[in-house]
Amino acid sequence: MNHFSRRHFLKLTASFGAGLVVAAAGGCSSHVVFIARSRTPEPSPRDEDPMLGWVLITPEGDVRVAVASSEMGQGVYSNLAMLVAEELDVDFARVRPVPAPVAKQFSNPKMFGGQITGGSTSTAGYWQPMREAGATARALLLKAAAARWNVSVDQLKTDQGQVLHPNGKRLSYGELAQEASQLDPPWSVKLKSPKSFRLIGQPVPRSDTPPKTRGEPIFGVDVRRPNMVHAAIRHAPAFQGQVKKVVNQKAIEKRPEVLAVIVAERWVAVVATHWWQAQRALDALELVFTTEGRPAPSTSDQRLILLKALDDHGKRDLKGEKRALDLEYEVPFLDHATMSPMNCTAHVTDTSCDVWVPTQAQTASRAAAAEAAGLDSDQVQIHTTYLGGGFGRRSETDFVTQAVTIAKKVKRPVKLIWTRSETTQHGAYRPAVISRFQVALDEENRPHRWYNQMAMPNIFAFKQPKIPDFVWGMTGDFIGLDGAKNPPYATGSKDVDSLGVDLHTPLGYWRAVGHSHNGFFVECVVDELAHLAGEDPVAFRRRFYDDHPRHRAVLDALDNLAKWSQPRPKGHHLGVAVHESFGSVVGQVVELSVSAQKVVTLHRIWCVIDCGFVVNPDTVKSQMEGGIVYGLSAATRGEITLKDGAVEQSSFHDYPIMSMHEIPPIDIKILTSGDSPTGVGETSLPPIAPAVANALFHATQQRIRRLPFSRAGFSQWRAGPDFS
Amino acid sequence: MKLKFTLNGEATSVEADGEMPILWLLRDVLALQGTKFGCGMGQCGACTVHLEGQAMRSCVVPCQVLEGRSLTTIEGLGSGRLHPLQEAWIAEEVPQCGYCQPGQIMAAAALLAREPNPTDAMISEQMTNLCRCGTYPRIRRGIHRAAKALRDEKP
Ligand code: FES
Ligand code: FES
Repeated sequence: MNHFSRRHFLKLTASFGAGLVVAAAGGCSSHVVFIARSRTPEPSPRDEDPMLGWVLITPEGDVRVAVASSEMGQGVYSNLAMLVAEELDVDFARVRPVPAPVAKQFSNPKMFGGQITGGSTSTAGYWQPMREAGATARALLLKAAAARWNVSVDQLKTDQGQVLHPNGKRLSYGELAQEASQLDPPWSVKLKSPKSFRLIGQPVPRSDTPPKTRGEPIFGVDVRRPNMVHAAIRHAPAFQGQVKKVVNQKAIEKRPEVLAVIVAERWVAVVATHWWQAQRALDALELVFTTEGRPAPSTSDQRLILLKALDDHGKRDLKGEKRALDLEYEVPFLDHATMSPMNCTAHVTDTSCDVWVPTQAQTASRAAAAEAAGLDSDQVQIHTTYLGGGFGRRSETDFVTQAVTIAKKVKRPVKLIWTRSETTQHGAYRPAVISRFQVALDEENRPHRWYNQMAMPNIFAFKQPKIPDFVWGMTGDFIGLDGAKNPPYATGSKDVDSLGVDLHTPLGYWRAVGHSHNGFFVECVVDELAHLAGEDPVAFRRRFYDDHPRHRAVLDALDNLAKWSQPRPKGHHLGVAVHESFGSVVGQVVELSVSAQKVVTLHRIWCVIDCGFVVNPDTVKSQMEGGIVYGLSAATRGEITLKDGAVEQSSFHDYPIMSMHEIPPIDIKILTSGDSPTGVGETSLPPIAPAVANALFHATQQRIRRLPFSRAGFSQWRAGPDFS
Repeated sequence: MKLKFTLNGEATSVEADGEMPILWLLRDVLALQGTKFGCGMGQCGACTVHLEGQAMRSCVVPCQVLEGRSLTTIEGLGSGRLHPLQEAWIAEEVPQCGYCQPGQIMAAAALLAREPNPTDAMISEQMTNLCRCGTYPRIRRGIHRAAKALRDEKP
């Protein structure tokens, strides 16, 4: 321990002979100064060297910025690099984001000190440290120039990668990097005021876009290492199942292209020269799995278990209430269905383990790899690739453990790729939930009693089985309750709680997590209340937003944007929802029509977000679009069902997602309400299901309280006809 | 078997198991990895390439059909410069994770080759590749933008 503040910056020159590297000292909770150590003795930074500081400036003036968050589509490589570039005052075209290795100083300040991309926290979490890193580097460059010219720092300015002397002389950052790297960093730096931002707030083009149109970025499945072989895998189908017997192992092992058949407790892998050969050999294996143990109940039984838990818990007495709701809302298990199947590449030697992995959880991946390899954490190097979708699924480490286990056996680099069906059937599922609402309106049409009792499996308890049950009794399932706890509408007596029910199904963090269901429940219930009160759904909500200025601003902007009160073509109906999650407020209006055959046409969607402060408005818009489409897939048709303890779905034909012809134009408006950014990536998902459900009610008078809508016969969707 | 075909405009010959799907021949044998594996069942389109100019889902077609034919992948689209679709994709900032995008662009290129001025209805009907990140509105705009650029280019 020492007395440096956590914001102290330390220069690092040991690993990169020339050039300036600026590192943050300490992690988010630790106060230990980090000392750089290079794994390779070469003095110059090479692409494969782990970058241990936040910022590196080469003598040529190129800038590399370590990005600790994973790029899974949200634009974080560019956006976090922008934060550094803004304060450093450098041409953004010279800035290259580089995935950070696992190291304490890169921990996400908003994610319990680990390197995790989740909770919509990347921009919000790194907002301060990355701007400070840029400002520190700039201060050192100014100091170096002042020394060179023998003037005081106050007389100098910077401009896009150069330091300016009052008499017009200039020195580029590259020319100064070496000298700057010898100086002591300042104790503190002053950050720019938002008014003088040049990059932040602009729709800066993403640096990963052009390569992505040429198929160049290296995703996990694209990793190639010298001497690499390929692995395919099959799990025991039932969650509790194990591998009992591999009947023809010897015969398969004799195939010339097969290097190994590896049998673990819950899975079998085949290693071969090419992946397709490995998969073909795996398909030819005769596998027998155990059926002992306690299988996960079937979907219909799971429902009964949840309902029974609610009934055993008992209801509130709403006697004497004239206008009250007493009903249940319900959602199913969901899979992430990332476009890229699960995969991981590993190379294990007696003293080292290298893992190339599309992961949202570098710290946890390193621990999983170390355990599987039988090595210490610091012998493991995690190389983060591009992610072909994350959505929470890639915060798991099952594929890391498997790849390392296989690589250790075959003593060569191995790339493991799951099939689509393995990916669908061995996921980390969003829990099924049943949520009972007992809500009553008072004389003034205010919900003066708000009782919301949920029954659902507890994700965090599943992940941390060592936490004793009584703890959950005290804290409640705070993740499952996210977005239900404090609805703005509950103005009187309120009781919101969740019963943890184990359904013996693997659980995970799915985009928006607790908000993914609670947004649906609460915003549908509010619409039901507005109907009960005989009020307009927008006007009704607005009455409860006096103490919620951000909700109010979002709703007003949405009202304007969607022209809520304006007449619509015959047969068109609107639905609205507003939900706060991850520090942001998002509201949406959906316009749709329904044919006699229950074909739903989505005409247009309007979306307003207040995300505090905007770093890149275009990536915010992308994320709004993405979350809406993702949420529509779930709301309209998404459902993972279980039979014989195993998942019934296997690919996009039985776990379908939205496609082009179903997505209408989406109009987006961004509001700001402060000087630091709040969450974006998950926030547009919660309102879309209730906005559609509410519009469907206005169109059909049918209240759909159980997702997906396909269960209620709305299984055909389309968009248009106007796409402008 | 020994396969001889034209790959991105160049004569290619390669030794391969004729049953291996084109996708895996490209990715694992020829090291052209822009073509992606999404489902392996012809459902998502991440593996879309052009066989004799026609869009095709390469994960379900054995590579023996390549014999004597011409195959174009994302790496060979645009011959030397960016295809107008790639330029439009950049202008519209289409990709999110980017995994489906090579397939989307190949599917869109085949559409534009058939139909230089596609209507929204045609795009809805013929762009059946899946995108889990939900880039559909931008793909639609990208196609219109590229179509216009192509029309403007022609005298
Ligand atoms: S990978 Fe070929 S269609 Fe999905
Ligand atoms: S951009 Fe991620 S799947 Fe399409």
